[in-house]
Amino acid sequence: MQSGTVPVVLELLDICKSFGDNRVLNDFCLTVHEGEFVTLLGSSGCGKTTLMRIVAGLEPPTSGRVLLEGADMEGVGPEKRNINMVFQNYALFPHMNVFQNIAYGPKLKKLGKAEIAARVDEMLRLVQMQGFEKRMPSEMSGGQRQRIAIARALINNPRVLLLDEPLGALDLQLRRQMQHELKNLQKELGITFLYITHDQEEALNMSDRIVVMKDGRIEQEGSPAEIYDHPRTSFVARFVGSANVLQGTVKEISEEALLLETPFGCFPCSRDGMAAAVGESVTAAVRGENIAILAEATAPCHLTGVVKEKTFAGGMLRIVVKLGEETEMVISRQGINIEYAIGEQVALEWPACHCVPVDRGDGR
Amino acid sequence: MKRKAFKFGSLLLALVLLVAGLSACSGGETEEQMVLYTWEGMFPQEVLDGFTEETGIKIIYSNFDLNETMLEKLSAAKGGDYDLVIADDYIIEQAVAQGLVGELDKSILTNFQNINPLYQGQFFDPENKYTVPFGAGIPLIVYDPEAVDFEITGYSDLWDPRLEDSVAMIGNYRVVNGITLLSMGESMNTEDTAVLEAAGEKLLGLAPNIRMIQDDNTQNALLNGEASVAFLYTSQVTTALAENPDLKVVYPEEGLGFGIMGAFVPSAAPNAAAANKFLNYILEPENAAQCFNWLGYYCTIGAADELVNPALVVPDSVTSGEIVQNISADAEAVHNKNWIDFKAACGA
Amino acid sequence: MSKPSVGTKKRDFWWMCVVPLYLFTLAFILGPMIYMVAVSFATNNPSGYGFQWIFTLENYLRIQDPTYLQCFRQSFELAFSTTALTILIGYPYGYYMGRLSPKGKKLMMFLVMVPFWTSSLIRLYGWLILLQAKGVLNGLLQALGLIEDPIKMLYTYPAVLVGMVYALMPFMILAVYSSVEKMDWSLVEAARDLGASPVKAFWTVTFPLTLPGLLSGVILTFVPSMGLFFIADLLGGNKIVLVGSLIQDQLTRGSNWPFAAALAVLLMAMMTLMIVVYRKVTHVSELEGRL
Repeated sequence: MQSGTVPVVLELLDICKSFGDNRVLNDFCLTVHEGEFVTLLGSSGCGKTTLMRIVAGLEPPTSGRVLLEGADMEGVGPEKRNINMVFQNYALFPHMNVFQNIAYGPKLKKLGKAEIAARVDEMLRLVQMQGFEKRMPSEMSGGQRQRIAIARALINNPRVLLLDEPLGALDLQLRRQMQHELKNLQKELGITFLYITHDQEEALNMSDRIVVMKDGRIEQEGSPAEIYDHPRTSFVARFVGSANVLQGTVKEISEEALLLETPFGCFPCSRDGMAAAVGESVTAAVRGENIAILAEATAPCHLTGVVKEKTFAGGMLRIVVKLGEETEMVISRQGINIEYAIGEQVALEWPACHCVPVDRGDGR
Repeated sequence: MKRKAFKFGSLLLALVLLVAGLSACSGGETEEQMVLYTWEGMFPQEVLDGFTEETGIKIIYSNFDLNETMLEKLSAAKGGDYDLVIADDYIIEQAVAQGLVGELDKSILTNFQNINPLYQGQFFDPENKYTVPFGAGIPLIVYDPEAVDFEITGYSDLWDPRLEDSVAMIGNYRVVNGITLLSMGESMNTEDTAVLEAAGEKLLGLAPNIRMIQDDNTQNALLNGEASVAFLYTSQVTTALAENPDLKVVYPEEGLGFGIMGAFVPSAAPNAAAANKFLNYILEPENAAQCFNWLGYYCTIGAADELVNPALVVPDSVTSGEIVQNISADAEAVHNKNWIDFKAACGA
Repeated sequence: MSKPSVGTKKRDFWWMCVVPLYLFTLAFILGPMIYMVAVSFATNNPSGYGFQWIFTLENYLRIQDPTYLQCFRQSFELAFSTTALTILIGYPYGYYMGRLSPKGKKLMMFLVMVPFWTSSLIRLYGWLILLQAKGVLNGLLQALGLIEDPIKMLYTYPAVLVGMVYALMPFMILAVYSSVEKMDWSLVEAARDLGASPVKAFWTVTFPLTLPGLLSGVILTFVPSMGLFFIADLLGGNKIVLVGSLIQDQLTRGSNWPFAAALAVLLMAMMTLMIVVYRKVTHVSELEGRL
């Protein structure tokens, strides 16, 4: 958590945006502290790009305010805001070479030729693209253009750097590499990054804070660990790290945990400070890597099901277990095979601490 | 299957084209015809139909818009292709010189004496062997007395500074140069290059007064108020007066230039007899009167003078005038130069 | 018997299509041009009719007469003025057209195209009706009480300019539009984001990127404007003598084909030279290759 002494660099107050009848952003509020790496995470259409454009000044909000270092940005054009954006398609000027592209901002500020040259040189070193000064954008690969776009934005020393899914067009290897580089760059420069992605892995890897968005609203906000281990809604649980979401009725209550009853057995769930009563319906989420598959149940509270599918994906074994007609659970573990065949009955168990209640409706 | 269809289709197309081509060639040979070659609108349809009714000869009306074009075509056809040609005087002289004109068949032309002698014996046909004069034109000054507050009596008045940007001029270089020469007391047909160059100088002085130069429908400028004075061809004068009878016509005191249109039969005409028959038909007073009333040019057939619109009979006061004739190549060159310089001066 | 491979069959077919085109170009474009150049060196008959195939340079020497040079000068002047005006009016029009919604674009395109459904000559007559002394414009001004006597608008250099610009405007508009339409507007946003005001963003990003369209529009306007002498004749009352009218004059009334040919050859040579220089100076080929 940020300490109170770190200055607030960007504040978004009740931002609403509608395009005609279409409401894209609903009373969006966000506070960004200096030096933070904040990621807006969500699937397409959730409004994250629109929000970023509002922050950049490319779109006006229908209502709400944007405060940059305390100053109200209403009526202030993008060129006057000390914010720069790295576009999804890089938007490098095709009629200018690398040097001219990067020098564009400083040139507008009418800096001296020598100073501009020095700054551009520094930026190229930063993004490891020295020697590329005379190249044209059309002569470079996607990854190279990416770096030039970043250099072009950073040279202006923006208070906030906006990045709109910058790694979306790159292949997996390159993407992973760039994630590292961007994170290091951010740490080195200490510039506040506001980052957009739909890739939860990326968000978890790079961010200081993740803001999960859905339908123009914030679903949950917090550090990667918080988001991952303590999702508050079933949406977040499923979106980040694909958890299993189950519903059950409260059977037993203890100080730290609950026992929830389902048609296929019962399972434990941590209370996480929640008030509960026996017979109440509770939705809980548990991650596939925390579930144990056993031939014989060891705990009295367990779920029973039938192995339906086994696939090996992304270095992990993914097992689908069917409970009843409609419900399925996905378990993931290392290794290439399990000792249970398809169609075999198995028991599923996990400790209470790995299961969290979601969709509590109490705003937490 | 596809190839067969393609073959059949192209064969059919070739057949169709062949038949069309053949029918086009053989088209006119079923009945007698006469090919008339002149400007558009030289005859009222009733006169042409009347001839076909009387003689059964079909008239094919072919057009040219410039005398020079006609001469080129006739030259290329070596005096053939056309039966009757009506064109301007000076070009007929050239056609005769090139041997493209045949003699008239006076045995068919029983009405030959109906022609007004004033228009005969001219430079292009001194012995009246080749042509029947068909219409004469005398370009005249016409002006709107409401817009011009002094009386215009001659060409010199056109140079009056009060007429700045007000004169509509026809686009005939010989005529325009010619009236300049007449205003200097010289002949329209002088070949003295020194005189011609002086005329060119004088002509430049007219440039500021020119509103526009236009050969077709020049009278419209006068009628719709673009110009207050115009120098018009005879047919244009007739049209202008018909629209606005208050316009004043001036027979310039320095002298008139006139042009005669002549009808001739080319030397190798396919149907010379028909052409001569047509000429004789036109020489009938009633037919002649119909033609000239319709055409708006001065009546050259004396026998029709009584029947024709009185404005189309040259007043008795006019006993002389010059016809614009062909001149030497050197003189032509100066004329050309004067004309281009004049036009350029108008646009400056 | 071996079947021909698909490759050669395709190539044969291609040849069949291309050969007629080549023949057509040779016969009807290259052929007449060569003939014209040849005629420009022939001697005109003194009588004025026809010409002889006797080599002479007199036709070209004759062009040195100040009257003819003035005519060339005036023609270029008019072409330049026309092109400049079409840029001033046509570029903004094409630009705004390219930024409209798809529906707006269709409508504007329609408006630009509709005049082409009528012959250009008839549209010019429309201008006569508008600008005449007793015409629509004068009538309107008089009715509004702004003028007493009609203004003499026709048969002047401005009238000719109006007619030329009107006739050639659509070409400039469409050329600019096609360039603007392909524009990636995120580039302008990037420029704004980096600190450029809307005007600066236009001049540093939009304008350079739409330049190829503008430049082809210039060619499309300049080249025809050298030849559209019928507009000058009609709206200028035959007072503005352009090279085109001069050539026409010499061909028909003047009956001096060799001189007319010499004028035409000179005109073509000058135009070609100008276009070559133009392309070099503006690095058009570079721009065309880049985008």
